[in-house]
Amino acid sequence: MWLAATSVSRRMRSWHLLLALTLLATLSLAADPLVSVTRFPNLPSKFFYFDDTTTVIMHDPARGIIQLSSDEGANWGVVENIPAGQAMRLIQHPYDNSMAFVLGKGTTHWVTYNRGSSWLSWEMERDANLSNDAVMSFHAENKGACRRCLQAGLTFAD
Amino acid sequence: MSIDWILFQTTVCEDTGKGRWGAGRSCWDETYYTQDAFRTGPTLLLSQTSSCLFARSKPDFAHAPESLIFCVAFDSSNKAGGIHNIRESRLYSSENWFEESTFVDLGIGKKAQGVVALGVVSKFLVVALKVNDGSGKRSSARGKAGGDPMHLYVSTDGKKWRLARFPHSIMP
Repeated sequence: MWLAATSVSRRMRSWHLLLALTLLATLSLAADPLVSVTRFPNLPSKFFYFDDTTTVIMHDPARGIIQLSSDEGANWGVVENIPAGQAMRLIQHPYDNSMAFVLGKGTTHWVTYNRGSSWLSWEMERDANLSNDAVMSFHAENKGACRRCLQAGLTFAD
Repeated sequence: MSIDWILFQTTVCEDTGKGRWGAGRSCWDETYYTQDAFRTGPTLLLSQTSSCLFARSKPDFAHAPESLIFCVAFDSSNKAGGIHNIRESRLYSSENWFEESTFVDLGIGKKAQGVVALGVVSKFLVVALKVNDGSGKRSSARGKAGGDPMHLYVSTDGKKWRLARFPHSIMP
């Protein structure tokens, strides 16, 4: 049943894609899509969009810097608040599309609450365990989850 | 807002002084937590951990209490530092940021030792256990219990646990 539903939705998605491509082809007669190329010296270790926005962020592990683009990758800038060589890990908040975290070499780390527009540093008493993939673990509480529970007829204990 | 609740894994190292084998250094992990996404300084949750997570770390695990946390940790009666045997690692849970904690016995009592992994997969909480045959000797990989050196325990509420049984066809 579930498999069937997935394959239907997948078929629908490819149909939408086809439609989108057709539309794009029609539009491209009027104006060519804009392509801009930015060259980077190193491969990023992490590279993601803040969901549903035009902001892209990436981590250059060789230079220890964070680079940010607010226009879907057309123009890139370095996050100035974080000293070069300090950025060891870039972590996306899995349930909040405006938050991201940058872990530093020592006990200073950085957080943004506004998709990278501004960064605040915080201090830890100890070094982050950078060799642990799950160095940060998050809480999934959100409105979507509650709605799903209510639909399933479940109630929270608290 | 619990979206701002984050657990943070840190490492501490301490020089154990010079001995006949040279200078020693022992390291262990400590887990910290924040309730405001690091707007204020984080607080120590538990020492001697290897991993911690919220029961509700995935949206599908909705039955669990909001503040329920599971940690894989070593017995706190052991002194800080030193090398722990993986067979001594246990699962603990808490609903008040480890002011009080409960030993999770997985329904098998004191034998619930050797926890090597913890995770939430879809609506299941899963724990991998390295099986100890109790003889103190290293059990051979294909010894008793059908030659399965690892056990998987599964829970949908974080309270009742079941040993997962796999069909023989997928065993190596």
